[in-house]
Amino acid sequence: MSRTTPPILGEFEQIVMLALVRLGPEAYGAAVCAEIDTRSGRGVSVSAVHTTLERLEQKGLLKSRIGDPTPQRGGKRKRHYETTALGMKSLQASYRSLRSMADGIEHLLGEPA
Amino acid sequence: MRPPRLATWLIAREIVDRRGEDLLGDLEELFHAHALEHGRGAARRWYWRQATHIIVDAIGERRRQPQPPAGDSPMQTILQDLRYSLRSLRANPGFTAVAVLMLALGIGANSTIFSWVNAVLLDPMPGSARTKELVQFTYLYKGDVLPSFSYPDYHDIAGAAKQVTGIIGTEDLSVGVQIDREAERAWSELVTANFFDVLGARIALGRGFTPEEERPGAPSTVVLSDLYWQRRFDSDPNVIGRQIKINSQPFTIVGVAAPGFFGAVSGLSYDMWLPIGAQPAVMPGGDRLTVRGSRWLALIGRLAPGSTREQARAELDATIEQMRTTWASQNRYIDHQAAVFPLDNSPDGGIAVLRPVLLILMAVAGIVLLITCANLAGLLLARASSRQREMAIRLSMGAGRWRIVQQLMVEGIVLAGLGSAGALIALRWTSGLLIGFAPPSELPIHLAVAVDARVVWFTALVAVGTVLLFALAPAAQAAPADVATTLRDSGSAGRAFMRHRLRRGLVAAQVALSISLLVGAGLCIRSLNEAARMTPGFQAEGVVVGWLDLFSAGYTPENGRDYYPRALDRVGTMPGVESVTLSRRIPLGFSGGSFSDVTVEGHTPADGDPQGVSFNSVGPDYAGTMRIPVIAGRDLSRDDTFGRPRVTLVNETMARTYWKDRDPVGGRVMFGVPRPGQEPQWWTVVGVTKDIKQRSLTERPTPAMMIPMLQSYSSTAVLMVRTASDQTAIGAALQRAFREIDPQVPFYNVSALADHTKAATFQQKMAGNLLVVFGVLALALAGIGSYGVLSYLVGARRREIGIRLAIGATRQDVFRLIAGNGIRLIGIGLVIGLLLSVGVGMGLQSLLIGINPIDPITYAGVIAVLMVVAAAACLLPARRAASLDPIETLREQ
Repeated sequence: MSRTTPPILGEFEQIVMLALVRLGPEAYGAAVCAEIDTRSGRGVSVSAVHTTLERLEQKGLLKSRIGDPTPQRGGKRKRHYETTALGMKSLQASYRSLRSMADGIEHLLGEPA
Repeated sequence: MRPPRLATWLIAREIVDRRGEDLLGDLEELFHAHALEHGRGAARRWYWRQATHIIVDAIGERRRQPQPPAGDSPMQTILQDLRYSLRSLRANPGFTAVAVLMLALGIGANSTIFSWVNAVLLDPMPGSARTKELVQFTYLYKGDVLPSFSYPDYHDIAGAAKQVTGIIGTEDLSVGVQIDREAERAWSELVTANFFDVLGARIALGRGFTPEEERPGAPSTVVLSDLYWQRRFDSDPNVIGRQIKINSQPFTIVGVAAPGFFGAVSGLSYDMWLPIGAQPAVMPGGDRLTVRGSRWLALIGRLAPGSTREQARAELDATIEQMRTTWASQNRYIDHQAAVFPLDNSPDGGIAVLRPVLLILMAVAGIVLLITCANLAGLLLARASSRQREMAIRLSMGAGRWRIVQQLMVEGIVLAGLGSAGALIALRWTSGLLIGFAPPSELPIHLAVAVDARVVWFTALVAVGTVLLFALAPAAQAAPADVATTLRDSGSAGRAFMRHRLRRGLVAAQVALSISLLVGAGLCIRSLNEAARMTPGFQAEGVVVGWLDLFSAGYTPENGRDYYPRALDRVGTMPGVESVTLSRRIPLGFSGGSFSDVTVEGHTPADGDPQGVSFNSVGPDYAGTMRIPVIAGRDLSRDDTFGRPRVTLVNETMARTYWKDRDPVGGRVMFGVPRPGQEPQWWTVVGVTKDIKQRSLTERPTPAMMIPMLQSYSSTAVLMVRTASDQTAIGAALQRAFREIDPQVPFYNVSALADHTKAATFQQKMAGNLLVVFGVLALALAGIGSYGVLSYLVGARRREIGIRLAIGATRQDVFRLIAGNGIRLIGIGLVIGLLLSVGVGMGLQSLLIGINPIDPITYAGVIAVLMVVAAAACLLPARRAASLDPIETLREQ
């Protein structure tokens, strides 16, 4: 992969990427949904998560491999996702821009200064 | 626990790409997690919400993507055709209404008759398991079917049978039932203990019979039918163990049969079943269980898996052969052979009566449907020619020829679908009409016709067949071959002519078929007329009948023989009573008769002698009350009682057969043959009567004897009263009188004799009524069809007619031209129809009374009716053609 400028991530994309990083190499769709649900407390559309994962993979920010089926899944196989180097860079860039935008106004956002 | 299946299916339909599997897996995993945490309902709701998201997202995704060229999936084109058809049918409400109505009539006729066939022939014994395996055993004696066996016969046959899993014996018996002091009549079956097991009839409450209960002297038990339990015991679940009296004997209720089981005789509904061991206690005439000569049981067996009816017959034959050897010294079973019938072709009972009528009606309904199809095909062809340009435009715009045919077929399916829907709605009412044909009878007739899945499937099948018949040919012809010509002019040439020929053929076919139906209807009506004119030899009008059962009241032959004279004296003096008599049975009712061999003094038995003599025991003044002419000697009298010389009446045929030119009056007859060492019991002939019809109006004259009931006791009798006054009033007065004579003796089923003798023409009436309906329907369709074709012809030939008129043809010429066309059309149909009718007459032969299948009066009548219809159908179009204005028609083009 050549040196390209990492693409800017949308808000939901950031959330999905962050969940993936938190979950590590064994992350897959249902786990991502559950992680977002517990962390952010917001109900999440499985459809949206899947669409996002697919879009991120198309952009080269994620890669996926087929995993094993489990009984709770009705015998269907998982698809595991992992961030690529480009993906990590994008996430870092996005996070940095968010941080710098919030710099100095944390108290207005309800955060400790 | 699984996620909602419908939601999963909807998702899978939407997601066809690689994401499908892991998305569904994720959903299922999360569904389980949700269910654990929030409960099953919440999880299901969550799942449905997710499904909605996915479908909405997928649709949004597809919208954003460039559309592939218009989808031509078969489903889509059919939906498109469906919309198009509905629109085009709505645009022609007149055509649509006529077509749907015709289809509803045609399909409805078939569904109705089939629902009857289904109830009577396909499910002859409701409530029993696998009735196809059930067969009826009978003896065949010199070509006659003898359906009854003795109980010792039953034991021999059931003991030897290997081809069946079981055989039951059964006989029906009208009994007096007493529940908590309240007496009433009921119909029972005396049955072998294996009855419910072999038939596979379920017991809803309590139990069936045990083998011990089949033995005489065992505690008397009874199983009630569901209907009787509901009616008489209010569905009381504690009825088991209760005591009731049947024919004055105590019985314990041990069970209630499951709903929907009515007994072992098709078309009848019994109230209760008694084990056969109770026979001596409840049936008059003493213990029959040990008497080999007493034949009274019907035998029904269930074929073992893998066994055929033929094997069962061969086995029964072998058993009869065995029995013949064993009883050779008593000359039993000589000339007996085995015959085994499937239940739906049983030689006696309601099926034997209904089967021929139903089969004929099924064929007739088929013909009506064919006529409907021919008519509709004609209508569609006419429509097709007016839609020629529409079709040509669609073809030139790139529609495939097959697409147009397909669209027209869909139109046909829509019509047939609407027609069948109408038929099914009407069926709720028409299927119940069967019971209306049942004549009054002392038997518990029960013709429950249910509209079940089989009837609905049949209707669907008929509808599909109909579409193929009426829509395919017009559809195939609809797409014009030469688009350019059709578009250029209005296309009146070759193809229109071809199509016209097809329409003419269809009309001729309709005329032919409707003639054959009308001839059938005419033959049945003529038979009814003949039957009405054919005096059965007695006068049923003015006679009221009612049944008496001394046995159920506990009378013995000793005290019973005094009862009848008392009753006759009492009734004879009632106001309005002209005369009164008794009889064992009524002539021309559904109940059979008794036959016996006789020995006539001075007559040497010869080969040509009849098989036996039919006999009846009757009361004094029998011939007088029934208005049967006495041609020699005298009628029976009140003095012909026990202790006086035994006397008898004989009919004319008996007198001629056995006495030839000797004087029968004073001659002597005995039943059976004289046995050495036995004093023969002679009956002296005191009178000769004219013949009367005993069992059917078509029977050949049979020798018959009438012996005095006052000399040969019968515990059951029919009281016959001739009256000039109101029959209902007399009936009520009679009821009162009999209550006063002895309230224990039931006097029931009081009715007009004429109603009962109508049973004799039941088949003709049923077939006749329905054939008239179908025949008139068919003729109307054929008339409309002919009119339609001729009108079309006039329309299509306007220009030609205009030219003819312009160059000098007279209006009469034109009239003759068009009318001639119509007459030729109908004439061809007439000739074919008359040929078909000969076949119809042959098929109906078994129902015809007193007329030939090629009955000239019927044929003349049908031809006359057809002439009227033909004239009406030809006259109008011909008149219209003759009044055309040549200038105008020529200017039109």
